Amino acid sequence: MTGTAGTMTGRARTGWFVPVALAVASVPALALHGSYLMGTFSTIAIFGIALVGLDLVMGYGKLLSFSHGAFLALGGYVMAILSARYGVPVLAGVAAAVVVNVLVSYIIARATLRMSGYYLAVATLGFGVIVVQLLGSLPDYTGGWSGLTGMATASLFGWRLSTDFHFYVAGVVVMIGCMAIARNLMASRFGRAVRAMGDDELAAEMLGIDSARYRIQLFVLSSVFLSVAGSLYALSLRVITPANFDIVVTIDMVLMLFVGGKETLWGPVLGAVVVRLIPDLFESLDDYKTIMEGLAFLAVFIFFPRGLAGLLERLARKERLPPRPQAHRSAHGVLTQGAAAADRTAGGAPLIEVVGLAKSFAGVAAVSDVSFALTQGQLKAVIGPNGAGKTTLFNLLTGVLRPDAGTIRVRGRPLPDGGPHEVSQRGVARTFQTPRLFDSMTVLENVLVGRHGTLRAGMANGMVPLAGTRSEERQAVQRSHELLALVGLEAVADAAVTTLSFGQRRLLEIARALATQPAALLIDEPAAGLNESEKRFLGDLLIRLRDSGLTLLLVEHDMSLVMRVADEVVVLDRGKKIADGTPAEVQRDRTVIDAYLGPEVPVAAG
Amino acid sequence: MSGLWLQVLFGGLTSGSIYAMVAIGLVLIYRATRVLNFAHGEFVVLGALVTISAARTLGTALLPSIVAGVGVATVAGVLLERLVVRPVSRNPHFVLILATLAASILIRGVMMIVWGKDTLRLAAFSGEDPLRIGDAAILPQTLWVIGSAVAAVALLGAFLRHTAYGKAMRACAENPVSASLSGIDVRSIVVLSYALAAAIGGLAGVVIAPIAGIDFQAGLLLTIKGLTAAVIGGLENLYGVVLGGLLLGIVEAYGSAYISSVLKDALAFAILIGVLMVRPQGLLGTRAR
Amino acid sequence: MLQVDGLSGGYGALTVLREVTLSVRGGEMVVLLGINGAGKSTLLRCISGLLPVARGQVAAFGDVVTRTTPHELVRRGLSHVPEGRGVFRELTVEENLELGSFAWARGKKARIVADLGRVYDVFPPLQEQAGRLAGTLSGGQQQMLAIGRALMARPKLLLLDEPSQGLAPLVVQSILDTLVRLRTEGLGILLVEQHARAALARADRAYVLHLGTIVREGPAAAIAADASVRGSYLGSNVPLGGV
Repeated sequence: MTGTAGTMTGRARTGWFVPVALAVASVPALALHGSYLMGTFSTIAIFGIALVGLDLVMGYGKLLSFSHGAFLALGGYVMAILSARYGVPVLAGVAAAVVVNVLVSYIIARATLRMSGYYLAVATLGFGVIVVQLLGSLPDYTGGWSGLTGMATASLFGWRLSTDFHFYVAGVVVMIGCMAIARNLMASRFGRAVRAMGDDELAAEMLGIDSARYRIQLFVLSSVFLSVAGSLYALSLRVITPANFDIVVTIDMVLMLFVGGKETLWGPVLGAVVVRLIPDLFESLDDYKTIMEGLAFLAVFIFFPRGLAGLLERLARKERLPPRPQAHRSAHGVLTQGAAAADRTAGGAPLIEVVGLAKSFAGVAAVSDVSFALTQGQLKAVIGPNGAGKTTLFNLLTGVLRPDAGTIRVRGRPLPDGGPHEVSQRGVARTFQTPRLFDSMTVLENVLVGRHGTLRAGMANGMVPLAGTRSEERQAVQRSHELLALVGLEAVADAAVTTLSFGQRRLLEIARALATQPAALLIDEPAAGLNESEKRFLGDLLIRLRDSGLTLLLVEHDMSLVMRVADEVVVLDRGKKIADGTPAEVQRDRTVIDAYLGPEVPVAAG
Repeated sequence: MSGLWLQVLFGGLTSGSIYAMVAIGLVLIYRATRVLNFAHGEFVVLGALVTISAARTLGTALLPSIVAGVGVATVAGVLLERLVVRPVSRNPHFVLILATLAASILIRGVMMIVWGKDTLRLAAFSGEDPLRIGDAAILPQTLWVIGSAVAAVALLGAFLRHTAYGKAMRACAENPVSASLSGIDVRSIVVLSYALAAAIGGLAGVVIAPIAGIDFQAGLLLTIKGLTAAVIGGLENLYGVVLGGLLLGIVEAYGSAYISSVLKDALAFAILIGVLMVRPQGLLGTRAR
Repeated sequence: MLQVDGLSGGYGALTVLREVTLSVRGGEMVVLLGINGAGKSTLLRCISGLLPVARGQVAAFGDVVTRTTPHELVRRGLSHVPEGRGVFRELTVEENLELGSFAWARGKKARIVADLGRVYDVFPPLQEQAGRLAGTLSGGQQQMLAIGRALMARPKLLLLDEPSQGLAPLVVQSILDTLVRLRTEGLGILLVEQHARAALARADRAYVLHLGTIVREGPAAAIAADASVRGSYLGSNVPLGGV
């Protein structure tokens, strides 16, 4: 759920985090000074840094990657080797480790790009094992299984880090800094793209988000946090062995992530407290430690999916809302902007032109020899009985499927074949038969994701937003509010998407698609599941959109709606186009009637 | 050196057989519920430890001990499905996988309490005197391992091909909704799949226990190796994963003997990553994942 | 034989069916018509237990079965042939058919053989293809196989979801005529169809489902002549059977 604000206009929201975090972190510092538990807490703080990285990939990105142990190890060993053998100072060592990790993580990210879910899990597990084994098997370089010693005492700007307390302070400062940066990032354009991808990759792609690129960036960014944590960890331990980073540690970190609360960035460190502190406090229970961990882990999945952070948030209950910018009630501005974005193609040249399109699955033709054109400012409907190929047609038009034959041209140029995000960037937007919304975000955030293509901020601007970025975010928020007003959802802008009715979900998806400022909007069965009044509203909305210059292509079954709003109708039956004309013409067309009602099939005698 | 070559081959087939049996179980569970069971290695360990306890501590004869071991593993499999997978089944798949990971930690913890941290061994089934095959000296237990794997694959194959329940299992794996409409109680078939998978895993543990010492931690690496074999083989295809398991075992054995024994695990995973990069769906997998 | 009363249901947030009431008697063929999205498939799924029912009741063979599981319903005599056939592509034709008797006759060889014989009588092409993998069959053969598999459970009531989908007219004719034959043997049939004409020509009664509610019901011939039915398909008022 929304642990962080989806917009950056709420400075009040981000501003309190650092002071509160520092205050909370000072408690162990004061209470445990000199106690043996200080060491535990310094480790917890350092793991907190690593867990920010893990939360990005596994929590927000929902990628089942087990490579974090390996990146932690690389961070630790590069630092340790440089310090022990070459006397390299701390900051240089940390930087060098980061460079190594960025390179390695980039390679791994590219290599695993095509691997989905389970295969990614097993491959990254394997990668982790490989790294640990290599570290253990090269004693000349790494000290082998018995470990690496001889690190110089860490010294940061003249301040010597020699006690657990020092490392605690250093760890906490870096951890809070990392959390703050990451929180900013997840509330920015980059973060919204990542969260959208994690929720529904296809829907995100249809909004112009290049999921491959973001996945790689996320992976590499996460490895930076892991690297820094690894380096600090090595310095704090003085002696490191490969066992400090093995698969048990990898799994422990996943445990911490879930018990503490994924997708919060600050939650997982609570998990680290639980996993590290409780065994230290109750040493007599050492034998039961593993059982309790297993039970805690299971309990989280079954009863507390949002972890400790979720419980705390529920107790706190106070949602501090960002100050709302002035939302213009008039939607006119939105629409004319959309129309202006569409090139005025000269004299009726088609916006979208489909010629001889064909697609088969397992030898069965879903679409065969379909041709039609969509001129700008037109509202065209595609109808046909079940199995006629309408959804396949949409998938072909939006780059989800590649045609076997035929061409698709948008504004005269062929459809790009790099995937749905390229099609979206060309100006084609789409909604789905069942609305594919981003369930972890609010209504407003969903629309904001649609603004992705019109914004410029990248990762760096996301982490430390300057005036220009903040201003473009404000504008995006304003535009999003206007779009919500257009579809009548202004009042629920900050509601969680999961609380919407079906009709509202449908309208939200349309608003989100409009946010991409498309030249053409393809809507798949918009009336399905709506009641009469909702359909009336929808019909009015579609007409207004068309009148403002937007081009619309609808798949629809509800003929009364089609009659009301469509300029022209294309009829498909079994993958072929059987009619093309005005609604009235199509209604009277004999072949269309036969297609729907089926042929007269005489009853067999006897 | 031809003796070494043969020796290594048998070593590879032995470990490969274990990996294959683990992988078979993983595939059965995957086909039933689309979940990668990270707790699978624990069934292997459980089978071994229970058998060892029955035989050594309680003095039971070998065969009943084996039955006890496999039986407990089977029960554990059913409990996993009932208590862990089913309550969490509404969640996305990656949460399910992590839930089985959580279960593996729990089972490990219980095993640690019951059996402690020592490495335990079981007496070999037919003695320790090595057999001479060509220039190689092979432990008789190796043949038990390979034989068990062959028997498991053959029996499972026959079960799936020729019995009503076996065909029902194949149907459920392909299309659970249609299976339900055909009158098949999909839930009980799922439980059966877990039970069979755990039983085969338990058997693997029993036959390998005399050769390799078993301790409460051994499950994790076995799970990973089994997953590797399953992924290489393509996750859906039973014969594919058997092939994957044997391949893994053999490559590990030769790599360990002729290249470096320390890097043998790393070698295995390097192969895995290599295969997946070239064929993301595994060697014999059908659909591109 | 089948009595549905005031049934409302759908998918989570989306309520598709509102207060649907219909009935099917033994030995009669009832057609359920309506455009895409009207809720026909949803209704069948609610009856056969695949979907939970929010309100209302389903009764079959005298017992209330609203929350019964699909496989239990098969045991009681209600079989549902889903949209898209749902054959097990990796199994042979004969294996598919055998699974149809799983609920009743697991392993009872003699009975299975007898039932297979009956199904092959009804659909001779299946016997020719008995050893082929179901995934290699043509659409029409797969539809026969799906119906055959349902028949193996010796149902008293058959629910069919758009059997004509994607099939050539002659094949549709053959399948519909087979259904007529089965009906005369006492089987009750609830047939969901989008292609109204062919179904209405053979059915006894019909219901029209529009936006989740029953808007028309009556003898098949009357429905065929009813102008408003066509209206719900194409938004105009021309009788189905006429010009």
